[in-house]
This record gives sequence, C-alpha cells and structure tokens, in this order.
Amino acid sequence: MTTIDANSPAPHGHEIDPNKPLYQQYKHGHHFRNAEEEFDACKTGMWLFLATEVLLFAGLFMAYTYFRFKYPEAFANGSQYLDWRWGALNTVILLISSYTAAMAVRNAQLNQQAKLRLNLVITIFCGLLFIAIKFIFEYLPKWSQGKRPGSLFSYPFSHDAWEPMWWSVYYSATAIHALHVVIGAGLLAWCLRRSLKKAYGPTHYTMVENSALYWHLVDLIWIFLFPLLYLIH
Amino acid sequence: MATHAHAAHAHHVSHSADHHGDGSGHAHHVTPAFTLRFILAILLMFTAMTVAAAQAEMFIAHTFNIALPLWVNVVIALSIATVKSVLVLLYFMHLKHDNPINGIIFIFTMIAFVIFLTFTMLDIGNRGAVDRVKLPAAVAGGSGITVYGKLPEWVDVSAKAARSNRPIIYSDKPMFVGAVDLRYAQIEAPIISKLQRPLYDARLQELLAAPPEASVQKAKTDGISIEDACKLAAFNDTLAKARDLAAPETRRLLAEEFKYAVSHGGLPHPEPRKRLEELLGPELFMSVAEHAAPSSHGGHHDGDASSTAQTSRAKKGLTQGLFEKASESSSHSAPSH
Repeated sequence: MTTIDANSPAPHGHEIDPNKPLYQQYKHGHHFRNAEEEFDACKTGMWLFLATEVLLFAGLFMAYTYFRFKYPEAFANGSQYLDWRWGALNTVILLISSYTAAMAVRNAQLNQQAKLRLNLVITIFCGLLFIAIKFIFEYLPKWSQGKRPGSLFSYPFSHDAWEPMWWSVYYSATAIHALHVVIGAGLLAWCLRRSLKKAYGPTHYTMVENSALYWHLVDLIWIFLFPLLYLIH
Repeated sequence: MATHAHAAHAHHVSHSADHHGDGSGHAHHVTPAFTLRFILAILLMFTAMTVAAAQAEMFIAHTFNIALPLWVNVVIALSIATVKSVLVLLYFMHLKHDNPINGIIFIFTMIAFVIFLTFTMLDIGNRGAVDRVKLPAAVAGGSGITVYGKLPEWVDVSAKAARSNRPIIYSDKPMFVGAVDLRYAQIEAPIISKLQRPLYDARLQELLAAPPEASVQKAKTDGISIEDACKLAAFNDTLAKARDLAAPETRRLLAEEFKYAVSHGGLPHPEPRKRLEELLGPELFMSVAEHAAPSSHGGHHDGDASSTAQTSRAKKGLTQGLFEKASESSSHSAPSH
C-alpha cells in the first residue's frame, strides 16, 4: 500500500504543502521510472490478482456444473425456492454501482472531486443495499425455514433427496460473492476517505482504478450467478 | 458505435484529459460519460432479456406442455451473461483502451477455466458409459441413484428410482470415495430382479414362517438378523432352483435376466460373469449369452417401490459370501421404514 496509496504523499521528510491537493504531491516509488510506469505495474498486478479471483469462482462454477449435471431435478426444485425478483433487483443494483464506480474513475481522471466523492458514496451504498437485500430477504427466511446447506438441511417439504446439495452450492457461491462485495465496499470506502483529502486526481488515481476493477469483477461474477441460480427450471 | 453521435462530447473529454500527467507518458484514456451510460443501459436491457427468456421458456413449457431440454435454458442464460461480461470488461474495466497485457492475462485465465470445465464435463458426461462396461452393477457415485447415509423419512427416493429405472445404492461412505470402494455393492440387485422375484418371495415366506436351523446358525455366526439369514437362504435356494430346472421356461427367464443385467451394466465384469457361469453351468451360460443382446433391452425395474427398498435392505445378508470384496470394502444401511 505504501507505493500506490501512501498516507504520507511526500516521503523522505518532505513537508506536505497544505495549499496543494494531495494527489499533486504524490511521489511515485523510487524503483519506478515514473508515475506512469508505477500505475501500469500496479494495474497489471491487480489484473493478475483478479485472475486468481476468477479461478476461485471457477471452482465454484465447476461445483455448480457438476452437481447440476448430476442432480438436475434437485437444482430445478431448489431454484424454485428463490424469488427471481430479488435476484434481478440485486443485479440492477450491482450494474448501477458498477457504472458509478467507472464514473468515479473518470471523475478522478478529470479532477472532478465532488463528483468523485458522490459516485463513491453511491457505489458503496449500492453494495450495502445488495448485502442487506441478500440477508434480509434471502438468507434469513431461507435459513429459518430449514433450507440450509448439506447436513444442516431440515426443510420438511423438499421434493428431491439432493436439495441439500443445491443449497450447499447456493450458499457457498453467494456467500463468497457477498464477502467480495463487502471487501469491495471496504476498498471503496478507503478511497472515499482518502478522496476527502483530495488524494486522487489526474496524476494519481491508482487506488480508485484498482478498487473499481475489483468492484467490476464482483459485478461480473454476479452476472453469471444470477441466471444460473435464479432462472433454472 | 453510438459514441459517434456524441463525438463532440468525447473529444472534449479526451482534450481535458490531455492536460494531466507529469509529462512522462501518454495520457490515460478517459471513457466518455456517454459511453458508460450507454453500456449501463445495454446491461440493464440484457438483464431484462435474460429474465424474459427464462419466463418465456417456462410459459412455453407449461402452456404447450413441451419439455425443453436442459441445455436450452443454460445456453440462452450463459450467452446473454457472456455478452454482458464482455461489455463490462471492455468498457467499465477499460480493457478496450488498456495495456494489452491486462487483457491477455484475462484471456489466459478464461482458457484455464475452459480446460477445467471441458475435462470435468468429459468425465461426468461419460461416467455412465464407462460404468456400463466396467462395473458389475449399480455403483455409488455412478449412474444409479446413490443415497449416502440416512435420509429423512419424507424423502421418497424409491418413487424416483421407479420413474427413472435406476437402481438405488445405499452407502455410508463419504460421497467422494464411494465410486471405487462400492463397485461391488448391491450386486444382487440385477440378479434377483423381477423375473425371479416371485420364486424368491415365495421361498422367503416359507423360510420366515419356520426359519430352518441352518439359517438360525448362520445368523448367529455372521452376526446378522434371522430375517437376513433367511433372505440369503432364499436367494441361494432361488438360484439353485433356477439352475436345477434347466427347462426351457427357466432358460428363457435366465436369458431375460441376463439381458437385464447387461443392460444395467451388470455382467461384462469378469467376477459376476464367472459367478453366473458357475451358477448356470458352461453350456447353459453360453446359450444364455447368445440370446443376450446388450442394447435391445432397456433397464427394467418392477416399479414396486417397497420391493426395491427391501432388496436394498436385504443387501447386507445377501452380499455376504457372494462377493467377498463387497462385504470387505463396504457397509450398507438402508433407511428404516
């Protein structure tokens, strides 16, 4: 974090000039030729990390494929218990938040500080809304009815012996995704906090860019999870 | 692209972006606001489309009573999701104007995923085919309906088994090691099947009414219930009777039996084949083998759910001594009804 988003923008004993925005005082790491090179390296590093994230979810999608192939009836039945309207609403929320995240990057590039803060706030709010909907309208009622994963399953009206397996896949996939939403919102909250001090601007917005990339990945995963979980029959 | 309509706006944006930087490199591409809004609109539209497609499929299936194949739903949903994700990647994640290395990283990740998916699907998709050749009978984790552990009472597997003509395998093993260990489980299922069942049932009633001394002794020494010992005796008696009555009718029944077993992936495996040969004698076995056409006869179960369950429950007693491997490597339990 020291190079891409240092709390102290002027290392090596330089004083911070209170009259200039922080981003203008940012000094790139000494091991980079210039800020441009540092930005590219950070971003490529982020993409490598995103690749590992994709592979993490690839395992979950694989589990989904395997068990749906093996127990299609359990998956069709299980999917009936999900209300597609909540799924669709959450999809719309995440898409809008992805748009505002992309706009936030643009605002940073163009030094639109107020808009940057606004877009970050909207994005974080959408993330929290997503989590709230997920928990209040999906996890809690289902869990209390006994629609639980694996051996915790105790729903008395299931139609198929393999429904616990469906719920295992459902909970693992959506809960790991939800965890990513929380982490992404945390990253953006950090950006918001720093942007209050004008830490991001045209010459330095690496943290905003990378947090937004992470957020888009979360959106990307949900784009696949939504139809695969909610729209089966 | 629709961005041309707003070329002036886009120009203004990139112009203002040119002023940034420390003079060391090219300006980063600033995506025009219109492009982002336009992409958002398309993404929302596609979300509506994927929901509408699912609703339409459901409507078609219910109204016209057409059973759409599983892949229709998957292919439509995943095509739309793929288009959406490409839009997110290109515009929201800036891959379109980015350093190509980032896009290459992502493409290689996708290739890794596709390899992962393809080989797993080849495995799952062909498991039944492999089982048919290699495995004597229904196999836990294979093409039968596998029940691991004890099911809640309300779950009716036997109805499903009757519907799909698949045997039920009960297993206590953790699910992912079941496939190899339980290869010999429930070997009696194809042998005592519908054609021998009347004989078997009649004999079992006789034995249960007055358990013979031998069975009581067997129950004691093997640590099984007297009922199970009677079942084992009834099983052996039935097969012995079938072998002794080498009459045309029995031969026909056994040919049916053999076909049934073959169609269930039952007999090509050397062990049960040897066993059947031993039971029938070489001559009868060959004539039966001639009659058995593996593909002409689909799987048959007598649709009588309780009898299927009973066969499974009897398994512990029946399998013992028939194939040593089965009793060594697997322990079974059936739900108590």
